[in-house]
Amino acid sequence: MKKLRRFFLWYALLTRRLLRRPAYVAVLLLVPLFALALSLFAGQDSGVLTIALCRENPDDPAAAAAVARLTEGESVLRFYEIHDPDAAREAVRRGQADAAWLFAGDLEAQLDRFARRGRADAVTVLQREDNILLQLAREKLFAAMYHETSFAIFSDYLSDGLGAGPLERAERSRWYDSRTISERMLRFETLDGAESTRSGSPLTAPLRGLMALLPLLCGMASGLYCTREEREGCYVWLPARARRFLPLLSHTAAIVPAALAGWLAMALGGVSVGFRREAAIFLLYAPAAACFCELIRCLCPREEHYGALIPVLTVAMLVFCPVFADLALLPALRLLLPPTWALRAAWDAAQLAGLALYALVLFALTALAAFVRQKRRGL
Amino acid sequence: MRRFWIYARLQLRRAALLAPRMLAVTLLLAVLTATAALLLRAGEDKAPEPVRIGVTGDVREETVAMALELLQSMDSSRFSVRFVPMDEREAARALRLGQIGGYAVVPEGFAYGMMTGEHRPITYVTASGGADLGAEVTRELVETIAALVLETENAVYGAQDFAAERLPGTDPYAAGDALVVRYAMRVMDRARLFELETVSATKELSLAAYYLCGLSLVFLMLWPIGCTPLFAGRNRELGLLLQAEGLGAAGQILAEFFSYMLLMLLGILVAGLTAALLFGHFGLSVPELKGAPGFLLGALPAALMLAALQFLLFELAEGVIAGVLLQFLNAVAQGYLAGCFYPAGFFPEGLRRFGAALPAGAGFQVLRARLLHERASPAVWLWLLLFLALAVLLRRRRNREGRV
Repeated sequence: MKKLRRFFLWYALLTRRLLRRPAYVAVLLLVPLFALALSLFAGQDSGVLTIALCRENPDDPAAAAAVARLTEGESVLRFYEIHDPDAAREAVRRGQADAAWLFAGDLEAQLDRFARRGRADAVTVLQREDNILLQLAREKLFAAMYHETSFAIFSDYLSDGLGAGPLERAERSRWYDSRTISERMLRFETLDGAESTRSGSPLTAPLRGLMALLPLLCGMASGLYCTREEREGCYVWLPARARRFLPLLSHTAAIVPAALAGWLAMALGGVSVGFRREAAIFLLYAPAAACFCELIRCLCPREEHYGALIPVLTVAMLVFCPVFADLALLPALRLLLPPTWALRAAWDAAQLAGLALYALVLFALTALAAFVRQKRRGL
Repeated sequence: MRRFWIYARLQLRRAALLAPRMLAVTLLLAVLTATAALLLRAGEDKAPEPVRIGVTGDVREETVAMALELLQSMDSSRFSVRFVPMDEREAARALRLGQIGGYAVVPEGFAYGMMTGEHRPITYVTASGGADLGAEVTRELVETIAALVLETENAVYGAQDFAAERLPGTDPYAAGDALVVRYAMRVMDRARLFELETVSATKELSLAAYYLCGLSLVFLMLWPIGCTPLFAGRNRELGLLLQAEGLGAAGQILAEFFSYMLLMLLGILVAGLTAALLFGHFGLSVPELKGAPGFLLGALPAALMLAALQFLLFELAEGVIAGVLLQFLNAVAQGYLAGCFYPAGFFPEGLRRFGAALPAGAGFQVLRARLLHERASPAVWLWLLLFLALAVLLRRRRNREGRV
């Protein structure tokens, strides 16, 4: 009991000395403010690609329907309508749009032609260069015209394939809609079996990854602090065993406020995965991050070396962990980095066990490294 | 003036002590950044990697297997999406490792259910629950495919009903099957609906050049975190002493900034040459880049301005932790808003303008102008002067208050 009280006293003192620094508190407050600002902007129109839509003939019903489907539907692509083909071309030239889709003036007739011959000049796609995203976006374009295309194929098949001869449009429509299936064909789930919903906005999507990095940075900075204090002999009066674990406590004291600020930021940014899961991640991630920082400090004991490693580790985590994009590179390396586990646990509850195991392994390695380090110093 | 040079020489010596380590860090950072560039596959000579989606469950069923085979061998989407048949355990593992964007679980008797109108929904499993952009894109793609299948199914039932009622001699199911074949052919032909036209963009960067600018800026903004020992170890009492000796806040700041700037320039030189070597070795090309030295020279104003900003941030944040934290926040927030991680077009108009007005945005414009051989805006020089002036004011205030 006495030991526990002393532990909390040390923890409180280490936290207090940080929180007494106005710059530290101000920076921590900036984090949720940044998330709040992003979430305010997230309501505005944004998307991974911007595509200008232009109808050569505003009266063509097929083009009107396709444009309406694209602009009114929910999508990670941003569509906007432009009325002049030259302006659309200029928007692509100037980089205001990634592509422009110009719908033919006689789109309905072109789709009929496509149904019969498998070829038509339905849409002119203007772009500066082709890439995977633009190719995938064209699938969206095809889907937006699919109702009319499908109806044209169906009509052609009735009159030509089944030999029913020419039929009135109203009649074809009646047969086409004779059995409309409204059941869901797809069910979205996450790896832990929960229903998966669309994220609020692509703008706030990287917040979780960044908030996983933030406490680590604080922990690493605390490592620099501890190294200097050790060099200055601030804790020589403490018993060797206490000195072994004091840096870990110091890192935790730096990590916890940052993790709480990150938690608040995620809640404000709308990327939180629920209180219980977030609390579990927080409780496991904070010690894991502290152990990671201390392990690196034990392996790299000189202040200058350790300080120099911080940007390298930061870039490594930005590149290898799925913060901005999941590049799936060097899976073994990314498993060594704490944000990977925090992100996995957020996406899949089963991975909480993985995070716990990771924290345990890190703790054991850190204790061993700290012990070896003290022995080498003859303590 | 003599005191200024003595102090500047002292600061240079401090920076020189840190230089070997910082150069090692620079090398590592350059390798990491070049790796990121390689991963982004920005080179135009390389075929882009298609998005991978796992397909599990009843994939051996004849119709499903045939559909997958058709998609993989004949459909135009095979260059952008790859459907990989696998078992569910393997798919879950691949998803956790980020090797696939998601996987679909085809239920038992799915194809038969479709023929009889008895729907058994496919479950599409994502890792993130929507937190990752890649997952969002594949999710939207799968939704699109499902909508197409549903529309086709409606038409097939319509044809069956028509044949059953109007064409007594025709087998409705055979009529439905024939329509499915026709649909499959037309869906495969869908690329023939579009005429692709490449618009020459005289005023815009290619994607490869865009990411070169973005990654260069991120590098410039994260690099100073390694200099923390240089700033955190500053003796504030020395500031008071120098002031008393006649070297004011402006002189102190200029001397310190001068040494930091030289260290940074050395870092840029090493990073630039390493990246150029790596790019050359791996055959990564940026069409607008006519040579690394020219680009490095062009990047100088942006580098100086960012160095001044980082210098000011270290001056603002007392203590190691706040300093590192502030540098990190500055790098990711400005980098994100200025479009270093995602193209600026990704942001809403208001945020895009805000991002362009930020120091990182001004830096981006300088790099962009260099690659496009345009005149750069003088905004970076204004920012540079502002940051240095603020640093001087801050130091002056601190010296006046006698704070250490």
